Amino acid sequence: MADSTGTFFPYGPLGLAASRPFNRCEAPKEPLAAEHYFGPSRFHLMKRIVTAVLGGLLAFSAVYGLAASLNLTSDSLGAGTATVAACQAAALNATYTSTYSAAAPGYTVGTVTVTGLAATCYSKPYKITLSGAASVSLGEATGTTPSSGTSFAATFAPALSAASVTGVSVVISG
Amino acid sequence: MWRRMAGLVVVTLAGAVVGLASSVAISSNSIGAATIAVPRCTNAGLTVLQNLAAGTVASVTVAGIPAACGGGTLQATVNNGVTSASGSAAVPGGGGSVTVTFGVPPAVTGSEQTDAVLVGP
Repeated sequence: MADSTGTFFPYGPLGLAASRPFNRCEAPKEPLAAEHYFGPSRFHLMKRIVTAVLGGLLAFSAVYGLAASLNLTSDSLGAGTATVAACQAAALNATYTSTYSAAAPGYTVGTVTVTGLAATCYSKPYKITLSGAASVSLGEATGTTPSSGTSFAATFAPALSAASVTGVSVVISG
Repeated sequence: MWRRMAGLVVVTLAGAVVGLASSVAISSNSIGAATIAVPRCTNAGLTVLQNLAAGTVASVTVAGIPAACGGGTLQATVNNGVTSASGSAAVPGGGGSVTVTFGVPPAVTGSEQTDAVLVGP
């Protein structure tokens, strides 16, 4: 490296000090090795940097090569989990209002009253099913729980034979 | 060292972004359901006796009610084919017999049907 006066400075490219200064009029007897040009420690540093850059280029070129060799598409996929909880933990109790029906004939259940309703189950849709032998549904009543109080009544139309009722199912959702 | 840390942070953030991209926000309303058998306080046969008065069925006595039915309510109806009369009475705690008296006793005919139901306890 030389300035405007032609004086050579013992610096190589990148401003690194050369290990052996030389005169520009003196042709080197043999080609200077990079180690001579940069010095042993800086030479190793440069060697590591070059090796790292080349390794990175090689790795990325391999990735790009794979990406170009496959034509891959994908449908969307999303998943989530949420807890489904009951609106209340306290027990509900079903009671029955039986009425005599000459058409049946016999006693029928036209109303099921559910007690024990908690405020957390207010104003929610419900279904009540009365079942008979082999859990066959005899009838279903639907409605919305009240916004106050602790009980509500579900009406079955037509009324169901009281003797046939063996089970009751209640669901409150919303 | 700081370069390694920076690299780890970048890798971690990339993984978090991928996780968010595949997740779906979901919420749920409540639902509660239950089924229970409607119990019978007895399966034993009960004795039904019509008490007649002036050509009418004035009342019905149901006997043989077990203690498990104590505290419940007995409803009884007599239907003579033309009209019917219904009434109810509480079952004693120890069970036993219950008499249901009709406000308007139905006339005695060739045959009457008597129906009874125990509600509760």
